[in-house]
Amino acid sequence: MLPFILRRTAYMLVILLLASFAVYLIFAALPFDPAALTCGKNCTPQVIAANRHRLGYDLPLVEQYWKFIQGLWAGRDYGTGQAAFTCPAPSLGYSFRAKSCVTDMVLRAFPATLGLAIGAEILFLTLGIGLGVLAARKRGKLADRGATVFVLMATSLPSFFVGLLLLLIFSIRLGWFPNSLSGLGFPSITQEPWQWFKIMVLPWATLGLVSAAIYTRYSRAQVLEIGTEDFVRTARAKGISEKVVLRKHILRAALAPLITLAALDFAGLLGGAVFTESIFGLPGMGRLAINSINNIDLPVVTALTLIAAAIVIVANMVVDIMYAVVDPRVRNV
Amino acid sequence: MSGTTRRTRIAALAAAGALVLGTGLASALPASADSKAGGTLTIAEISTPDHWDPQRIYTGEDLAMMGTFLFRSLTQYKAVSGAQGNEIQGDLATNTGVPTNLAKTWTFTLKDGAKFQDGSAVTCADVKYAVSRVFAQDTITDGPAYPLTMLVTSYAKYFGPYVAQTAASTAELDKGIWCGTPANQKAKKQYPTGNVITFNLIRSVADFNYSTTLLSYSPVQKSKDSGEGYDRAPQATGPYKITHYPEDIEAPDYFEFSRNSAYSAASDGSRNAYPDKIIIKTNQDPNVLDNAFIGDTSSSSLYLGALQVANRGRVWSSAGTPVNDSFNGRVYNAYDPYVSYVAFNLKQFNCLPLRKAMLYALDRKALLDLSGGPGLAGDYGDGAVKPSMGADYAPVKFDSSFGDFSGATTGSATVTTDPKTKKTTTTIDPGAGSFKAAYTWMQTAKADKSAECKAAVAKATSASGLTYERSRETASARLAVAVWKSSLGKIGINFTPRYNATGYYPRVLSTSWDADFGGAGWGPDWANASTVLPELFGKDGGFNVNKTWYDKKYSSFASLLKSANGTTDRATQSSFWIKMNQFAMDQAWIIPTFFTKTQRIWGSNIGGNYQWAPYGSYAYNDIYLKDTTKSDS
Amino acid sequence: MSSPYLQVEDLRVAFPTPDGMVNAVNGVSFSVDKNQTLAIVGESGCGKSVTSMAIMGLHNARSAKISGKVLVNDPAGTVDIVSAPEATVRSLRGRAVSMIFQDPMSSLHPFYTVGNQVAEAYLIHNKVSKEEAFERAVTLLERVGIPEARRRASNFPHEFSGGMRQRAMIAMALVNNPALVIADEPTTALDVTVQAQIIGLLKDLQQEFGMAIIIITHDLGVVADIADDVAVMYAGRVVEKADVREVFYRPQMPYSVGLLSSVPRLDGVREDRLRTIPGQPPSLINLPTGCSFRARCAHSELVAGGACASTMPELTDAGAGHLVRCHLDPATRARVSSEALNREGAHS
Repeated sequence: MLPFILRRTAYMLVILLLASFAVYLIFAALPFDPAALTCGKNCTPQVIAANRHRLGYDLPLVEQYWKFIQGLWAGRDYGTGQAAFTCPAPSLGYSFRAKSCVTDMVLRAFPATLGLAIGAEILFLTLGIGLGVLAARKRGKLADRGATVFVLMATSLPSFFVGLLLLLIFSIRLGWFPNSLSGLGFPSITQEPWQWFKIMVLPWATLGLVSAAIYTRYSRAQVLEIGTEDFVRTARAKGISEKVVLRKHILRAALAPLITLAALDFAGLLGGAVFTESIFGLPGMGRLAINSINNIDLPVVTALTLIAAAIVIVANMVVDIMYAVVDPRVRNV
Repeated sequence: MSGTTRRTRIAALAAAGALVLGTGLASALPASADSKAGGTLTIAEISTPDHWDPQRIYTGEDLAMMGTFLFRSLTQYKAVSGAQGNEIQGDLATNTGVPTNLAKTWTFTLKDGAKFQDGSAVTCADVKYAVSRVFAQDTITDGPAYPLTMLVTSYAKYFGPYVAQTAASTAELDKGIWCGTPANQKAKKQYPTGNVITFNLIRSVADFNYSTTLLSYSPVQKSKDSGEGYDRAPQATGPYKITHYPEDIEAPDYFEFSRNSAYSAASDGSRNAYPDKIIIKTNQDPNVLDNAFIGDTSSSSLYLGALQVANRGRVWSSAGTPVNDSFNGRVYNAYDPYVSYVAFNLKQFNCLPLRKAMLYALDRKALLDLSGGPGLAGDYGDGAVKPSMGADYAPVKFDSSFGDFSGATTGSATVTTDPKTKKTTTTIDPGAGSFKAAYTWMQTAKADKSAECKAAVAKATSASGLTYERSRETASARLAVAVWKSSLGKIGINFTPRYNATGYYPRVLSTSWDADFGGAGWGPDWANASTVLPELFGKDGGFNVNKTWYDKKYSSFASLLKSANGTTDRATQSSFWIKMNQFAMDQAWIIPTFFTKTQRIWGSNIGGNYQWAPYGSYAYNDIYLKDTTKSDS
Repeated sequence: MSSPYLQVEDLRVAFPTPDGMVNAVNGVSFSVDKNQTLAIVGESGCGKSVTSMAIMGLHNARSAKISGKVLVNDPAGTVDIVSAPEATVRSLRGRAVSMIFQDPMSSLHPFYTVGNQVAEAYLIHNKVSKEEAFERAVTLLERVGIPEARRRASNFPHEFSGGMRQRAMIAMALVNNPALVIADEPTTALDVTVQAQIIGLLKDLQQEFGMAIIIITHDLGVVADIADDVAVMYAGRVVEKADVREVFYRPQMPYSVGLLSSVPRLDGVREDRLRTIPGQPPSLINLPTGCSFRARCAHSELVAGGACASTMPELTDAGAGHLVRCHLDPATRARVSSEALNREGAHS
């Protein structure tokens, strides 16, 4: 197992490096001049040129990229003389618009996204898989039909529509849940945990319901299919009770592929659920991305893209390892 | 200062705190300690100020608010209502400065007792250091650039304090700013810790002491400067200092000003500093704010921002008066300092008759009505200078024989073809306003044989036509564009609007701007058209959207400008400004649209407020809480 | 002699489908005793696997209609698997009656070690610790001839060869010392040399443990090797049942005759083509009236009165326990049989 993990880690680092360079190249090829975007009025060509030099955009692309990557472990210095300052490691750059080190901005935005991702993941895994397994066991009966209807509805409705609907009905009209749109700010999980929980329920529901449907469909199909496998027949032939057959023999095999899905979904959520965060006003990575794109805040957009790519790459590696833990047939690859 | 990014600031005092602040504060309270002092003032706004660094602040409302509460400069405007507010007096300086050498040299003496918030005294070196920061153009951006264009120090040779200083660069800075008297400078004796500062200018600037009201001249301690970072932690010289700055500027919680214990009212003599605390809440939802102020639930707050168009009717009638008594004493409807206009890009649009045709064709009444009509939106503009500029303004003369250039422009030209003779006849219905003039100028343009006019007319009459640069595409933007389309369409001119929500000003100000015309707004930086006409139309102007130097007749304007700058007599200067404004309109460099008005609203618990003339802002110095126990924060 | 361990009486299994009722098993009866091996042979679809699953009670009650009796004479009491409650049947499954399946690769759970799976079979029916169960598993794996059994018990099924996997399945089936082992096509998925080993192993184990074996196969070579009795099934019915020698040398029912004569023989005349039974088995949804084999039988005209078309023949004793289901009279049957088999040379 260890050589497997080491091999996978090595591949992952190589891919991360390539991805980071690709992302950097893409942003360098954009028609925006980041130096021109740092000054508002009185923006003469000399000022732009001076800024380009100060920010390091006049360096060759590879050198720019190298300085950026270096910043990840060494931190990065900006400015000269009295105006010099440092973004400490791991530095993802500096946003001149927000006057903040990008790493700080990301760290501020990450907890909301993490909370959203974890809650949504728990919700859609328990609801989705639970419903799917129930539907498979009670195939053809009311529970199964109910699950099918739920799946159809939830997969037909786009997440932003569901989010807006939930927000309108349960928060604005009925007032059962607070929302962070009234400018009261977002409660901190450490200082106001109950308020934080209440404000997260609807975003969790939005993401959870739509995704749960996919898991219901998959797990139902998987359980039904695995149920016809020969080794399940063997288990029954050994005299194992249906409950144990389901738990030990069917579920273990049926849910293995869902691990991949679940981990990759989680990775995607960590990159920021843009619609949900915008609708509910959550100060997470998705909203940071939208705002930065609107403001053409290139350092932040570059960093967020890179982070999203890195999360997916790491998640893929983790999934590979998890899969090998679950399915022994994969281990020697 | 540009007219489209103004923000009003409302200083709100946080009530909860006690007034027990020790002996330092005792001198900060006004001498007549009547009931005006105390309380928490709240300021609510929709956006967040770009800058808190004094050298980088450039919007009128910010200059007014921060200049009253946080930062002292060399001179300041008088804090009184009415036109008298446009007069200046010393702030850090003992007087309004001493000009010598035909107003090419200015000397100021600093008052005793002025201190920074950490207790260190303000010295000449601090003022000199502050102004030197303006020369670090890449770092200290967005502020007024007057020191760069007025001082002898060349921005091509001195690049600010953040790069390595050489003997040559230090000498260059010294040329423009000297800590000492002119005699000291001749004797090469400098006294950085002293209280005398001299500025040497490249030309006579009679109103240099007006430019020193700008916070560009507000002192900064070198030890506390961090370049970019100073925006987040500027050091106060005024009666308040910043005690809370939001951690995340993209999602700010609030800013808080508390009393600056190092501030000495005795060294000032003009600041009232009534509230104990000021809370500024930015990035608020406009609907929420509108309702809070209309319903007066935020009674101890100032509203920095305009009511949304949909809510305006709840406060203002179309005649410009409040709809009911609940607004008495907490609203005003007054002219702001700004002029709005549309500028032609002379780099590529150099056909004068065609510009004049467009100038006369525009139905400005329709546009004004879209913005709220004369009661609320303002008056028709006739140039770049507003009547409130006093002697610097005179009505612009248009081609009066062709009709009346004001108000609605209706009228049409119909072309009929006689079926038998195939002859075309054009019947002109002059309508109201200047349609006939527009039509005539269009004919002139079509007949003009010059290469520029041929190309311009061809482009204007083609299907896609000219390009009209606009910023955000909103519902009101589309309505305005429709008015333009119908006005210009009547004389056969087409155009395509180009919408882009971000980066409007950098785009139109850039030398590579490629649209044919685009809107802009401007207000004087102080009560002198020297901050309007040279900025907008001068080759070195900081807001020359037109790129006027491409006009063949520019040299005439340049010589007028030289004369205006060369005289130290204010009245003579005024006559030159009037000539230059007329010249700009004769050349149809712009289509003036409106002399704008602004309507503002604040909470009923606020007393002493009025429109402060120099900035068109709230009267921050005179604002107080009527009931100091009530607070909105 | 005591009553046989397993008695199947008139077992019928039908599956309702959208196309109609599939009558997979239409009245099968037989019995097997300890130390005895019964081979059930027939083409695909004749109902042999369905029968074996019914014996184990493995059919889904929702999707199969089962009638008849499957009596297991367990020391604790006779149980009719068809009618007994699920809990009772479950206690028999894997303990008193166990099954070896056709494809050991797919019949073993890919995620658990072989030792774990064998031990699981033991743990279900015995209250012992995991370690004890594992020990028992290792013992059995050794017994079925897996080298380095202790080490290999921690391997996964995909790490075993085909023959080893089947041995492991056998170990799993025997871990509780069952009285009856049903082997459903145990060698079909294996290559020939391994087949012989597995069959040999089964015979050894029967010698040692004395269990009854039902072996289901279509491979007559395997039947010849291991079976004591043979039941030939066709279209859900037993059409012939006798001692293995009787069936091989003197098959009576034309279908059995056809089966046996289709096996190529080394000592026979070399012919151009392999012998087949023409036609296809009948649809189990719409079984024809009369004898199910009639359409493919070359001799049905020999029966007087067209009985083959109208009446299903009964399973009758043709002498010495040799049961045949055919309308042909014994003499004709014998003649048909010897003609078919003697073509290649007689063996008696």
